[in-house]
Amino acid sequence: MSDALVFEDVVVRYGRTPVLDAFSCAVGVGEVVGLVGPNGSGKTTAIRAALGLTDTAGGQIRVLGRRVDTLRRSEIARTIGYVPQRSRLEAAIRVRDVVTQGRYSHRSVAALDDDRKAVDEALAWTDLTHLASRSLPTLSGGERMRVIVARALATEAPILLMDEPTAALDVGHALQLLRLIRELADDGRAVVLVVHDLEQARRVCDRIVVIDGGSRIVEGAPEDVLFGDDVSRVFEARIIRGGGLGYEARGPS
Amino acid sequence: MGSAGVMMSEMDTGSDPDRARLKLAALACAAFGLVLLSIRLGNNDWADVDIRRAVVTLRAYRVGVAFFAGASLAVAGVVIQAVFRNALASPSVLGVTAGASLGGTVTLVVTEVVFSGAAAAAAFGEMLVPAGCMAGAAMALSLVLVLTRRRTSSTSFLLVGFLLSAVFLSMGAFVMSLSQSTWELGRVVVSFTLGTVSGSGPRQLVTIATWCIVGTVAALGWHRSLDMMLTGDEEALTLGVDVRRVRRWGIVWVAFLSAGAVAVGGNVAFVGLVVPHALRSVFGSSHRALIPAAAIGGGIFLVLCDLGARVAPTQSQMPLGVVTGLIGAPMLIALLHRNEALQDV
Repeated sequence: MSDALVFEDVVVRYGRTPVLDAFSCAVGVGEVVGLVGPNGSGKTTAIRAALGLTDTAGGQIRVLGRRVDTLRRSEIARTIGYVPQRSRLEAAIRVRDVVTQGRYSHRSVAALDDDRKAVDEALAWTDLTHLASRSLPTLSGGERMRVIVARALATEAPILLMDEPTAALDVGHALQLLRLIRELADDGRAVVLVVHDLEQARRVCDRIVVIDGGSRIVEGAPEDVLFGDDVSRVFEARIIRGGGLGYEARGPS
Repeated sequence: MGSAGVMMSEMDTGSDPDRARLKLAALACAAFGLVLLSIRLGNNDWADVDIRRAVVTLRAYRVGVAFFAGASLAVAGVVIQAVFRNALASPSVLGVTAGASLGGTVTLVVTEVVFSGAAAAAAFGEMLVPAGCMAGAAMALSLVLVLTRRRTSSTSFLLVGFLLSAVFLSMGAFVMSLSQSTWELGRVVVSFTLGTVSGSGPRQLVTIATWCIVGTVAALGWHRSLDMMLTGDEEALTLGVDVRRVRRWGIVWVAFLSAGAVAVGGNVAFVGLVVPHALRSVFGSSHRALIPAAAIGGGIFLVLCDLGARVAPTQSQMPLGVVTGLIGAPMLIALLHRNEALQDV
């Protein structure tokens, strides 16, 4: 499996405080990697660094073999689809127009049909086709999050960075999104999923990277990592195998 | 965006293209009717047909200038609110309108004091003050762009614009105080400062119409990028938007449009603030519909205000800037009252 996204000893400092401290990890094509860790551990900073939104003080980040700091903004946008923790978009714009924003970096007159197809597919994937003509402020929080996910999918980027995309979703739509993430990875995309719900991480991720204090603590298969001592220590909590509330997706896949 | 917000109705206002076209057509019809009505209304009690025709012609120039000046300011307001994602931004926040006003005031005084008003007016005609306004606006715009050349944050632009505005307004007040030594000059300067489209002729009309159409078409060319700016700087960057470039070009077109409006109408406040707010609740925030709607709506607003200034039962005509303030501020309060939720631009 070739690597789509590589963090190599990445250092990010806010002032003199290191937020990422020689952080390393790689995400392969067709792989879902879960980034888990307590609040303030550096998960979001790692994602921001990969998007070129935060300057690095050391190390390098490579996207499809190219250093991210050598890419133009439009190249990054075509390569990485991003779902923020909370979008700041509140304007009265139609859902379809918001999803079409994902095509901004592709824009050319010749690509209009491609744009339409990508937007239609993204709307269908996220179960938003029936809401396409609605205005964003008329939607619920969960529906808005699905719009932002659809916008990231419309980029058709080979890498997806998702920062807690299920946080505002109900159980049904959260499972639907997790299933979609799995399908996207199976289709050849590399997905980084920042997630607090360890059960969700176990369900969808091929590999889990535990981060704390800006450094990678442990990584590996979900079953191996989530029930290990490192996770209990990092979260200061005991993870119980087989406990908790179980749920399954219903309806057609 | 913090405290600033844009009012929106709870209704579904995301502009469906077909519905937006219908609404635009209705707005254009209303504008056409209002322009005709505004030319017709007023003192028409002249028996002499030639005098009556001359008055109607002058009134048509005046109404036309008011329409295009209002259109320019409203489009500038839409653009500035998008590039700063701030609903409280108006074209004046860049300091360009204050710069244009200073340029116009200085030109009025210099023409009178140094060159002797009559001689200069004969040499350069009625376009001297507009030219001074354009020069003042260009100077202000250059300063804004130079002082913010290494910066991208909207706060930097707004802070620089605020400070430049303060400097230009102080300088304008100083020049105005000098002009009070001559009663006639003082009256002209105060009239310009408070805003007026009275006495407009064909040159002003052609100038502002050209300026307005060029600026509006240019702004419309950026509609996709302006929509992207509504998502915030960081999200826009991740979607491939060159935020710095969009912001700087947006500022250029705002300066262009507002300089044209000040050049023919003097200081006219509130148009660029209240018209975008009012129209967003009808047309939504998508700039493909909002920019042409603002052009027509801004024109309607200023023609109405000028009509009010003209027909109000006062001893002399009310300054246009006073009328826009008296109508604009209550309108904004009413919009705020009607829309319970303040939402981001």
